[in-house]
Amino acid sequence: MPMSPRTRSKSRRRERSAVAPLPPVSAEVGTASLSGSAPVFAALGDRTRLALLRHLSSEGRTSITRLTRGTRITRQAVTKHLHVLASAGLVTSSREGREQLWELTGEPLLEARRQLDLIASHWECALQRLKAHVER
Amino acid sequence: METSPALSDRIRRTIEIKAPIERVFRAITTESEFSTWFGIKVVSGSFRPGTEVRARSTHPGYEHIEFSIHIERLQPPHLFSWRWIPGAEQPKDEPTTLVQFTLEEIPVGTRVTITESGFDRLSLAYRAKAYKDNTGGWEYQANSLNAYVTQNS
Repeated sequence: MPMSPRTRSKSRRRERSAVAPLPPVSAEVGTASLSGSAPVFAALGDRTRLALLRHLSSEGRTSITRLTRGTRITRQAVTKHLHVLASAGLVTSSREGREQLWELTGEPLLEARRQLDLIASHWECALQRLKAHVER
Repeated sequence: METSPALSDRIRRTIEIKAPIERVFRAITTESEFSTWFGIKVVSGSFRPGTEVRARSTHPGYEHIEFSIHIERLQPPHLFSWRWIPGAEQPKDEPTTLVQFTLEEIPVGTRVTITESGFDRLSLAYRAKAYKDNTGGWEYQANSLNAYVTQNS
């Protein structure tokens, strides 16, 4: 599939910022680092991709044809978006007969959610401390 | 599984405080007060728009971690915002998250909302920063941070 210049430069940017592998993290820490979820956040930061995820969430395994139907988005655009989602590990595809069917994977999205939940809980603690400080 | 847009890019949390809005705004935007409840020590800079504040965590065991906060807006008594990469030594040109404190007057006092946004633009370069939840607030995998800095310097 030919890449638009915009897509090409995005991939190059991703490669440029790749860094050394994360050192082993103790079992106590639990969740992976925030920015390990960066591709997931980037993949999610697009209205069309979110709509595709919602569609896949309700429809299950679906073809590009069905995903494109009833929208104003071209088949090519939907395909591009699905590949972004796939490289973030959010969707996966498999061939069934002549068609490629797409579906959600569970884990990266959950991991990204966990990261945000963790940061959100830090903010909750900070707000509690602010409240205690001011209401003293 | 939820895939609502609000979850992918931003965090929003809110609290109601029994105090006048000006009092709460002061607690948030005065460096000494902010440091007390947030758990940092300001090393340099002050809370003025466009200023870079260098700060250190005061949480036990992590006092050596220094980070930058870039102050964005200060609009008394309703808005205070900054940009940072949470808890990290901050290289230039890296995408930051935006932290906004918004304050509204309510019958019991003041509603404070924190919104942190911009997670979709975080660089892969911060793969090595690990966060651990703890009653003391922010904590780091100090070993991971050291290894990251060593490997990538």
